[in-house]
Amino acid sequence: MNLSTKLFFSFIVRDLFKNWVRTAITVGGIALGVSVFLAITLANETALSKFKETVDVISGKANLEVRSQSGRYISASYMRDLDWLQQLGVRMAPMIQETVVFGTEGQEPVQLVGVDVLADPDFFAGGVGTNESYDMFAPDSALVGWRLAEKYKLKVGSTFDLYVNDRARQFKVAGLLEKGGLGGAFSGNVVATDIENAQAALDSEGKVSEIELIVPEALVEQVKLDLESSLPPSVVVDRPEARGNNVEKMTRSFQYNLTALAFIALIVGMFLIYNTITISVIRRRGEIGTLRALGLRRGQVSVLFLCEAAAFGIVGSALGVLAGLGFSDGALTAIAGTMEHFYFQHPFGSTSADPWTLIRAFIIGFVITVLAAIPPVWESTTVQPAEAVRRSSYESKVLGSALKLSLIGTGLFLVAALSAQAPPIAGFPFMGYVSALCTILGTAFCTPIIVRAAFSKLGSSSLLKKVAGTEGLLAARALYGASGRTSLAVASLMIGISMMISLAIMISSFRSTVVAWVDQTLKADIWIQSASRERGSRQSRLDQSVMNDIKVLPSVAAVDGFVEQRMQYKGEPSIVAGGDFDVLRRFGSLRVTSGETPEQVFARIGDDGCFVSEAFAIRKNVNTGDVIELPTDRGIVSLKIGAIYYDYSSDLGHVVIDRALYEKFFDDHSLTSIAVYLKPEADLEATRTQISDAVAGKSLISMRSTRELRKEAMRVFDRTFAVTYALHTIAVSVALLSVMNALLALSFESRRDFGILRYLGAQRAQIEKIVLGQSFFLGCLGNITGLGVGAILSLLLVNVINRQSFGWTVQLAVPWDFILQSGLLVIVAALAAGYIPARQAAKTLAPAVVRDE
Amino acid sequence: MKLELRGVSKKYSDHDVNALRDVSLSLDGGDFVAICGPSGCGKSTLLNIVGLIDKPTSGSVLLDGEELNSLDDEKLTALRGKRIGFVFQFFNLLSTLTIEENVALPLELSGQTEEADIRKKVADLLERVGIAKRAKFYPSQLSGGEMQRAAIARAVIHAPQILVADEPTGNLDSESGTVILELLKQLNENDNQTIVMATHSAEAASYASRRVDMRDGRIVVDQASELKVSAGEG
Repeated sequence: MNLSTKLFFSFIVRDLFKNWVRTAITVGGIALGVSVFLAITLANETALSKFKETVDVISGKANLEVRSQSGRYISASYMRDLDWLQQLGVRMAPMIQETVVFGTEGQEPVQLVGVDVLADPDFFAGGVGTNESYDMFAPDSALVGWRLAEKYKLKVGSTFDLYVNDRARQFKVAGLLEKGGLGGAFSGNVVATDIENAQAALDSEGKVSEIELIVPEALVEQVKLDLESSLPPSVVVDRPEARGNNVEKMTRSFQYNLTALAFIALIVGMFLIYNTITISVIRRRGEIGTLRALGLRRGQVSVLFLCEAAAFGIVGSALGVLAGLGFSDGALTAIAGTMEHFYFQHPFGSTSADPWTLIRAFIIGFVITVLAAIPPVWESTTVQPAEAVRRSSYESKVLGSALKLSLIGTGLFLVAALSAQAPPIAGFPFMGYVSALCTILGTAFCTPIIVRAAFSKLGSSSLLKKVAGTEGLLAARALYGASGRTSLAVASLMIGISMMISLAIMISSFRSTVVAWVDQTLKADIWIQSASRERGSRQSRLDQSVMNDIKVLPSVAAVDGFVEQRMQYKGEPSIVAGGDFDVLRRFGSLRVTSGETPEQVFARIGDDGCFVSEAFAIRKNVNTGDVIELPTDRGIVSLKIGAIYYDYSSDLGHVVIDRALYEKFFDDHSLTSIAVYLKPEADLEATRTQISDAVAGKSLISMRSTRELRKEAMRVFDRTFAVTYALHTIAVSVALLSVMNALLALSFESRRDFGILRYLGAQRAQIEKIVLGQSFFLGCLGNITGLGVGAILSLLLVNVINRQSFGWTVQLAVPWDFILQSGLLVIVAALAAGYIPARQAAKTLAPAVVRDE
Repeated sequence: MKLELRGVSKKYSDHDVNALRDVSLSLDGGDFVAICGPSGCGKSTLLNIVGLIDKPTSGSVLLDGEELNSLDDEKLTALRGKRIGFVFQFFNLLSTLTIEENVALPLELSGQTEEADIRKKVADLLERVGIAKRAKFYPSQLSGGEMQRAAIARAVIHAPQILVADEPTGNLDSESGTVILELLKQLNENDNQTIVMATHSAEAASYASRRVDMRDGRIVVDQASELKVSAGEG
């Protein structure tokens, strides 16, 4: 064993075991940061990879597909128009698929897939997936996926209901799909049948979702160009894997922001490491000095402490990876609801761990740990042996560089201010995050000067002595005397709290904005959608006859049939919608950014203009008066933007046109939802009954009053932000570990002072009170600085990051009650973090430490 | 005041060392006792037991006839806070407090809250030890001798019955050391302050009225020494 290895084991490893509490805290902090980051990454990756896997299974060996850009249907007649492709050796197969509701018991969304089983077997990767004889040509017969069969104990011959749009249809199980082939799609939550059966079930005779093509590879690009020029612009010709890319684009902002949030815990963890290694170096400056005096070179000292950081990095990251695997299913469940509601539907199941993702998380944790250790390690090597053995030399150094550090901090604030003005890069608020990071780091650099100023003032306050006694005064003075170490703890806590405060302000602002928006826009009295849409089939539609039946009811003043579908606008997913402009004008449920009244807006727009949502305007960089080109089934249509309206229902962006125009452009007469306006004298419940009676036996609908719909909107909102709350709670937990770590070190450093106090007659309880006083002051200063930085970050989140990511204007609303509660909670947690150090300090053996000079 | 150590032994279990072996010692009010002996002979351990900072492994300690062995940490600490004062070789002033704050500390820790009283006592004492002008200074701004004078002021601010001094001149030059020893002698003579002082120095021991020599944890000599005639008288 060479000298360095010997020293590593005797000087570092033994110390890690000896100070096991500090070791556990540091490892725990790294593990927590890595685990959260990994869990979110795995959840994000699983969501996308499951979608892509399904696309692969469904597409088989197809290398090109023709589909509707709306994600719904195209005319099956295109098959005939594409006959000429066969001369080029191209094979074709139609397919129809839709999310429907499996209704026998569970009422859960499943995928209904209609395939042409007589098509070339190459279209089914691994076959259909069952070797049993089956007959899915028989009307209302289908194969059911393995998961459905397992969950509902289905056998051949069993029957089950499928809710499709506003109708229910009974199917008979013709066979069971195994995990391979088609049965592997949608994680086994699939019902497959012959395409004609599926078309009938979906009321979509003559329509298909896509036409899969197997094209000789050399001809793919040429065939793609030929098809694009011959088919309408509302039809997409692309490789099947492009669907995955579209989903990726659609969810990019959501996923990036979530990952950025998860990264916070790692950043806070970085401070924990910085803190730990600094403390390790400070605490052992004397020993470093001795080793240096005995001839150890600077480089060898650096290597020793870097190895300590590496040991923390390896153990913490490995534990973090294990914990992250454990948390990932929870994270996936937390984001699945949001993904399904806003972006795309797919049964996510449980996460699948790609080894590279695990390795990457481990490497990130390890590298961050070692990077965070470099400044204190560098400091340890620049110290002269004689200087190193003096206890106060570190504090003198911090004191000497406090002004320099605050100048660097000021420079970072300037960079933050400039970055906040920069536009998004590729739709992502990269510079917004740079600004947030610079704000945090700037404040961290200014912390030594803030700490010195705060505790200098506090330590000389006669009021403090009156209120908290000599112990309070001693606590403040000790923190002032150890400003270097205190600054690290305050900076860590400041980061955690600022994140918590800024996210709380952002969520509160967002929530109150959405509440106001919901109140102002939900003017109708009853809202109707299909029963299957209510149960999770987001594309599900209502027949227009439902609206006609309701319109004639005596208590109904007006109805607004609303329809929406996905589209590709300039290669990006967006939404086109049709609404009844006349009803919107009369009942005024659109709030426009120009502040005009509905009458003024509609008078200007006419029936052939369009509204775009704020998200659409910001993300596509268009404004009122601009002309946009909308891809429709009738070709590209130019529409003038009449007004931009506030909308928080989707970040993809809406283009809203009059429904008559929509029907003309898209040949789509179904409805997504119906808003019913009642006459003033009408009774709500009686009308609901009348509506139920009017559609009974014809349509399965779901009705909600405005109050119920508002409640549902807020439920969706809260579910969307639940993961955010969880993430910032974890960031604060890591910060509190940092406080505990700093207090342990501070108590250790103060052992001699505590010993002296014990000689002078201080009771153990008084020593405990001093340490708890330090915890309290750290908690308070962390709260104050965290609140200040949190306020700045919240402005960045609301006005820059959020706006650039999602295109939403959010009115600032400060949740004072939450801030007060969380502030108190942080102080309580800081006191709890101080408990172990306080107990340790109280046990100080006076003679042992006082004579140790 | 009478402090008695009867057959006191002290064994440190973690080092398996008998620091004191069957030591008996009696201190009366007004004694100035110098504990002498080489390093490791048990001087400091004896001082810790006399100063109620440590408990013997066997034997008993009686203060004014009261057996102290059975007292718990809280009661011993309270007793120490009221009746014992300490002076150390390395002064042990708290670096974050000013000199007057350091001196006031024993009173404040024992719960005295009359700010004006405390301030007056501190000012008088600092005047008496000759560093009144340094009251607002921090320890790092004082010389070694001044720091030890401040430490003595802190040790006697609460009028303890016993002043325990562990090598009080061990970290001072001879001139400063003499000043400190004179100060201790004055306290002993003028205020009848009982002082127990551990020292290596024969010169320092000569200021005491009684000298106790220790070897290997035992008292080998316990005799009243001839009172050193002060330089002023000489």
